[in-house]
Amino acid sequence: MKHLPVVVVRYSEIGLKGGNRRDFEKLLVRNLKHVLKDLPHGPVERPRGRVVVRDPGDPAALARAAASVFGVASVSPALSTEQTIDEIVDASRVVLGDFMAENPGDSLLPFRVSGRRSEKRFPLNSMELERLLGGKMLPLFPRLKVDLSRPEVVLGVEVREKEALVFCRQIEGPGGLPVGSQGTAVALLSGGIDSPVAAWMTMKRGTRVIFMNYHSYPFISEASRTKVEKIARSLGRFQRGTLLVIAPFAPIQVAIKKECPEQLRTILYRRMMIRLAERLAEREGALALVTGESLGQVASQTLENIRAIGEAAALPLLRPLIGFDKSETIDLARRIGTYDISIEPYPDCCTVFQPRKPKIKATLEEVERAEEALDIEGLVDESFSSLDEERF
Amino acid sequence: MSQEERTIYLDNAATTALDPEVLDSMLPFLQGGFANPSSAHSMGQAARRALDEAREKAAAIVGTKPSRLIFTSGGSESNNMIIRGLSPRLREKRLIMTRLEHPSVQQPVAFLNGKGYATALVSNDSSGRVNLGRLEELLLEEKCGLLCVIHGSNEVGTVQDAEAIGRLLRSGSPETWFHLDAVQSAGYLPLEAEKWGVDSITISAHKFHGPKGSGLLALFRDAPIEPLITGGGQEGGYRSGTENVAAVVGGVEAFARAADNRSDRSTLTAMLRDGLRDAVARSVPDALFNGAEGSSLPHILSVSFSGLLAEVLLHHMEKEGIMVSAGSACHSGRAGVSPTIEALGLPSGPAQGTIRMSLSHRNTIQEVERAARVVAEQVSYLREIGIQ
Repeated sequence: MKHLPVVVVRYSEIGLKGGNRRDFEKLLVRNLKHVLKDLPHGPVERPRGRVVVRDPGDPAALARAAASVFGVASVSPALSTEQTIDEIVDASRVVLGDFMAENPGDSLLPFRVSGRRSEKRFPLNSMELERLLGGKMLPLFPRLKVDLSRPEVVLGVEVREKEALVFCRQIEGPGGLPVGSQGTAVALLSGGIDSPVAAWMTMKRGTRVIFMNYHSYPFISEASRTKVEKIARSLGRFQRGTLLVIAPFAPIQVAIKKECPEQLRTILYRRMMIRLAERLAEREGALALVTGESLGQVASQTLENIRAIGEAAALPLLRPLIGFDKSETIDLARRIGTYDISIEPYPDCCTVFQPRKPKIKATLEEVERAEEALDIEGLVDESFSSLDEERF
Repeated sequence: MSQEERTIYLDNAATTALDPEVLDSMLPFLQGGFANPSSAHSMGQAARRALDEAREKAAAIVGTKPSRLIFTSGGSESNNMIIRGLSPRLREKRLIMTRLEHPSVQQPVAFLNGKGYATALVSNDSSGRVNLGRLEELLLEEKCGLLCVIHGSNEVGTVQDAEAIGRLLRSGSPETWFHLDAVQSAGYLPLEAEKWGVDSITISAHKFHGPKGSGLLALFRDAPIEPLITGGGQEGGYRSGTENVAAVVGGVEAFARAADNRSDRSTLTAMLRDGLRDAVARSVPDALFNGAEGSSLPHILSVSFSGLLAEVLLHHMEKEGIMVSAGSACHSGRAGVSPTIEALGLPSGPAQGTIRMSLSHRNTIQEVERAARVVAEQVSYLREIGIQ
C-alpha cells in the first residue's frame, strides 16, 4: 500500500478540561481550519486525542502554520499507513530516508524509536514495536546510533484504531488554549514593542482580542496609523476575525494639556484610554482590558502609577507582561513577528505634549483632583462618536 | 465640499502636477513608439529621432550644443553626476558649496570630503544670499576645483546672483568649474549660462509640470566626466542604459512650455505669492518671512512662526485640506531644523516653526486667500495650546 502524507496536530492542555473538552476540540479545529485556509489540504479529522490533516499540499508549510495556533502542543508531518508490521517498517524507512536526505553529513546521530499503541489488537506492544523497528532501521541508516536518553532523531510510531502514523519531526506549538474559549478582551495597542506582546499572551490563553489604538492626528502624521494596522493584522493571524478600533485622541490631550498639571499628563492620558477601552468593551461584550504594562519599566509604570491608572477601570485589567524584563518582552516580540514593525520610526500619541518631568509616584487623590477640571464624559463621548473601525 | 474640492496643493516645490498636454506628448512613446533608440530597425530609429529632436530643443533653450546635454533621471542624479564625475580632476583642489545646497549636492561633496578631498562652505547673509566677499577670499586662499551653487533655494526661495559669482570666478579663479543647480529656478527664471560663465546646470522636469524621473545635466564646456553608470554607452557615454524616451520627450515638452510662458507664469505666481505673504503678515503680525526680498523665486514662500512646531502645523493645515511642507519635503519625517534654515541663523523658536508654501501658476487667488486664513487660524490655535 502507498503511504499517505498527513499532518498530525497534538494538543495537551485542552485534553484536561473535562466536560468542556469536546467544545475545546471543536474550537481548536475551527481555528486550525482558519489558519490553514490558504494552504491546500484535505479533510481535517479529529480522531481521539489528535487532529489529523489529510492530503497536505505542502506538509512542511502546513505543519509550520498549524504550529502557530493556540492550544497546539506540537505538530508533525507524518505518513499514514496500514497497521501491519510490514507497512510500518516500510513507512519508517521512507520517513527516515527523507530525513537523512535533508540532513546530509557524516556525523553519528543519536536515535531512538518512540512507539505508542492505542489499538490493542495490534500484535506487538509498544516496547516490542520499538525494539523491532530499531533493529530494522539501524542497518539501513549507518549514521544512526541508539541513544535512549538524548536522542536527536526520534522515530515516532502511533498505532491507532484506523491507521498507523509514522513521523520523525516534531514542531513545537505555542501551547495555551484555543482562541475563543475564554471570552473577549479589549487590548490597548500602541505602536510600541510591549502592547502587541501583551495582546498575544492574552490570546494564547484563549481570549479573543479586540484592538484599540489612540491617534493624535493632526499633532502627528497619519502615517503612524499604518504601523498600528500592520501590528493588528500581524496579530490577527492568531485568531479568527479581528477588529481594530482607532479612537481620535488629540482633543483629549489638548484638554488635559490646557486644564491639568503637566507632570500628571501621562497618567491622565492613560486613564482616558482606559475609559475609552471600557466603553468599547461594553459595546462588544468584552470582559477585560489588556495593557502592556511592566512593573517599573518606565516612569509611568511604578506601582503607585499603575494603581492610579488602573483605578479608572471597572473591568479587570490584565497585564500579562507585569513580571517581564524588557529583554524578555523583546525576545517574545521577535518570536511572534511584531518586533520589526514596532521599531519602525513613527511617533505615537504618547509623544505629544510629553511632560518634561512626569510624576513618578502619583496618588489617586491628586489624579482625581486634576480630573475635576475635565469634562470626562463629554471627551469620551466626542472621541467615541468618531471612531475609525477596521475588520479583517 | 468633498475632500478633493477642499484640497489646496501648496507644495509645488516638492513636485508639481503633470500637465495633461505633457502627458499627451509622452503617450505615443509608451504605446506604439516603444522601441529602443539603439535598435537599428525603423522603429528604433523613430525613437532615436524623437530623442534627438528633444535634445536639440532642450539644448536650444539652455543655450548649449546638443552633444553637451545629458538626459538623467532628475536633479539628484545630475548633481551627483557632475560632482562625482569631475572628482578625478579635482584632487589637490578644493570644492566649495553654499550652505543652502540640496542634499544631492551636500551628500556627494561630503562623500568626497570623507575620501580626503578638501571642501569649504561659503557663508551667506540672513536672507541666504552668498557672501561674495567671503567667496572671493576662499578663492584666493586655495585653488578651487568646483563651486556648487543652488540658483534658487528649494527651501526659502533665495536666488543667488549667478552673474556676479561668475564674474568673481572669471577674474580670480578661471579654472574653477561652476555648477549651478537650477532645479527650482529653471521654470521661472531665464538661465543665461554663457553670459554668467556657468559650466554646468542641473534641471528637473517634475518641478515645472513635467514627469518625475526626467532631468538633465547641461554642460557648457567639454570636460572629462567619469560616468556613474557604464554599459552600452548611451548619452555620449556619460550615462549608459536604454533611454527613457517618453520621460525625455515629456520633460523637454514641459521645459519648452515653461520657457515659452516663463514671464507670464512668473508674474502670476509672484502675484499669488505676494498675496499669500501679505495676507499672512496681516493676520499673524509676528510671522517671519525668510529669503531675500526682491531676489527670490516667485513660487516659494518660507515663513517662520515661533511657539509651534512646523510638522504639527503642517498636519493641522492638511486636516483643513491644505498641503504644505515643513522646511523642505525631503526633511519631513526627520526631526530637527534643516541645514538651510540653520544657515539663515534664525533663533530656534521660529526655526522649528518654519513651513514652506510653494505655488504654481495653476493656483488661484481664492485658494491663496483660504490658505492664508487657515494658516492664521491654525497658528493662533497652536500657539494657544503651546509646545510644552
